[in-house]
Amino acid sequence: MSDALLDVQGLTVMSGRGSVVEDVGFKVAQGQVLGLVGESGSGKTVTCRAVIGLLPTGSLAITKGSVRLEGQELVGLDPLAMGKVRGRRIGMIFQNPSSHLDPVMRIGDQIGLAVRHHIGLSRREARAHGIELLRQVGIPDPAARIDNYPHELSGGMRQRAMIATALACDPQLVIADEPTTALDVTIQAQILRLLLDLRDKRGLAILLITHDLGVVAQTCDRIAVMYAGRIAEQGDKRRVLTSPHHPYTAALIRCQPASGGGQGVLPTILGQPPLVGAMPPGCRFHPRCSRMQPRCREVVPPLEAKGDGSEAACLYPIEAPVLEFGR
Amino acid sequence: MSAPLLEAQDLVVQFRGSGGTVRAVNGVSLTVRPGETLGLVGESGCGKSTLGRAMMGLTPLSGGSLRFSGEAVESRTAWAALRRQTAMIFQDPLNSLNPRLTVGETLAEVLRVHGKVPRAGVAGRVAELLTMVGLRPEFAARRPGSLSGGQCQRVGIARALAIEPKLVIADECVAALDVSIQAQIINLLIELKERIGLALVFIAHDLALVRRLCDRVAVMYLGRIVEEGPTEQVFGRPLHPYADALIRAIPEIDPDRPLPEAILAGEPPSPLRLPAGCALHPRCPRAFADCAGGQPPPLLPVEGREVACLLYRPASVPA
Repeated sequence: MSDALLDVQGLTVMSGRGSVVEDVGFKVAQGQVLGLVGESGSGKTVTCRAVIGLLPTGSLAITKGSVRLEGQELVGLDPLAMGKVRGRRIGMIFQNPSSHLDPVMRIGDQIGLAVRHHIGLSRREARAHGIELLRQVGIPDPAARIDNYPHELSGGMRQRAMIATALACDPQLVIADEPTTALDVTIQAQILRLLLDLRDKRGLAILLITHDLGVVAQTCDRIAVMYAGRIAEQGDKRRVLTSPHHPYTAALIRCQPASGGGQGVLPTILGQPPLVGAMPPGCRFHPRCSRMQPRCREVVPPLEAKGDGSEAACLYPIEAPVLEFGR
Repeated sequence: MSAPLLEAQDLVVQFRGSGGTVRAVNGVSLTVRPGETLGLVGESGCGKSTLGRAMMGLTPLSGGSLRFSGEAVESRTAWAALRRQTAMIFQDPLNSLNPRLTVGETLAEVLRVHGKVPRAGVAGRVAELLTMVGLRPEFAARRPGSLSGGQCQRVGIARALAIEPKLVIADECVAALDVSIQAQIINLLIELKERIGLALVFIAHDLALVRRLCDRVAVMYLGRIVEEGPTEQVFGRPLHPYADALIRAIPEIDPDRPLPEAILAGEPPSPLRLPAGCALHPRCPRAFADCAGGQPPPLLPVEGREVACLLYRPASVPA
């Protein structure tokens, strides 16, 4: 995958208390959907903010690693040049559309802002472009909706409007941070379908950040599982979900209530994820791991390629397929 | 079958706003039996939380009646009796605890107000409650700020158990937690249900969790119950088109199952302007002419459960 559109390598983000993201690497090719999965505090949102250069200044900073978009290094780019990448070549969709759309600005003006700034369209052209985008994201009666304020739209429609703003400048990559978490399941299915359709039509690459393995299973091509700031495992979606090598991946899949669909007690992961500044030595998962060996307390496991194309960071990985989806 | 613990008849809860009146709960009848777990599911705005609160008297009723342990709940004393025997677990574990009280003080307050144990026995009972929810007794000295989300929710459950309730209403009590922690809390509820025979109303939008935990499930859409019955029956073969759509929309972790095609078209209408007839008909893939007019379809028994849909209208009832 040397032709990766987005190539992240050895990315490390430090806060005052310690590393929040450590040595994270992944690639996204054109037309591909990569799911970045993890629990809260695993560093998935910080990773995506680092990619688009939106880390809060002063408290978090990239200390190592590289982020390349089509070969162009984004780490260390000056703010002006980064501003030309963000919004233009990388679009962003956030969890809560209400807090990422300007409440006192009409939908059309918010879409228009980006295209007038980045592409230099006239006011009239921007409006026509905006109506077309709203139509593409499935908003009914777009010519009227374009003059609405965000509060006049429902939650699902607001999320569609935000997707339209993210697509305004025809980006190559869209980073979607929990885009459906705030939505109801039937609306979630509609939005995920929309993202996949846009991928098919425009050849978009999508970096989808989510805590929901069900969403990943239905939408992604590849998965990267994060735990405590590091990548625990990554690979083809099918491989990772059906034959995980990392004990954390396997445990995370098992404790999803949807697995198997049955009744009664769920398998759990003991304890809770560590906090920044109090990371355990060695493998960060070892205090909660059922396969822990003494060496796990001392050695940081490197991310190693497995025979089936997956990569896992575990000294004692699971080799045989352990999970089945009988149906 | 044992006598019902809580019976709700035709409950109506209305909210008046500048745009008009919203019937958040629109004629709901429901029973909860001792030791039973009832799941209340539906999308946001369907009235499930309002129904849960109304069943505890936390939201005034605009119509309908409640019976608790066979007694009508009408007088002030009857409401007080209901509240002494029911408890609630809330969604946000941190914000539902007083940040300035230690965990022990929070639990002791409940024990004192309800006069559950003599003063000398309070500390012992606090330790017992903490142990029951899987926390070490030393947690009594901690404040909510120093606890994780899962630990806070355990304290919330301990507080609910402190009054030795017959019925607990849990409103989205794991929605704010990570999956690995979610599973721990669900297992705790399963264990408590088996050990102390707690009756539980579990309000959730996560249907997979409801399937794990609940004996019966009621599916709500825009203030009404559209299907209610034993969990395995409803999940195994949902009859109401809305229940069917909701269950099919659960994202399963099966890499071979593609994203379902458009499950339900459009979005729920504004509760201020409910469509005539069945509220689902503008979105329903199986709607026919009769669905669009008249009264909303009533809940009628079909295949061991109750369904409010004209598709299952018995032949003897005229259209």
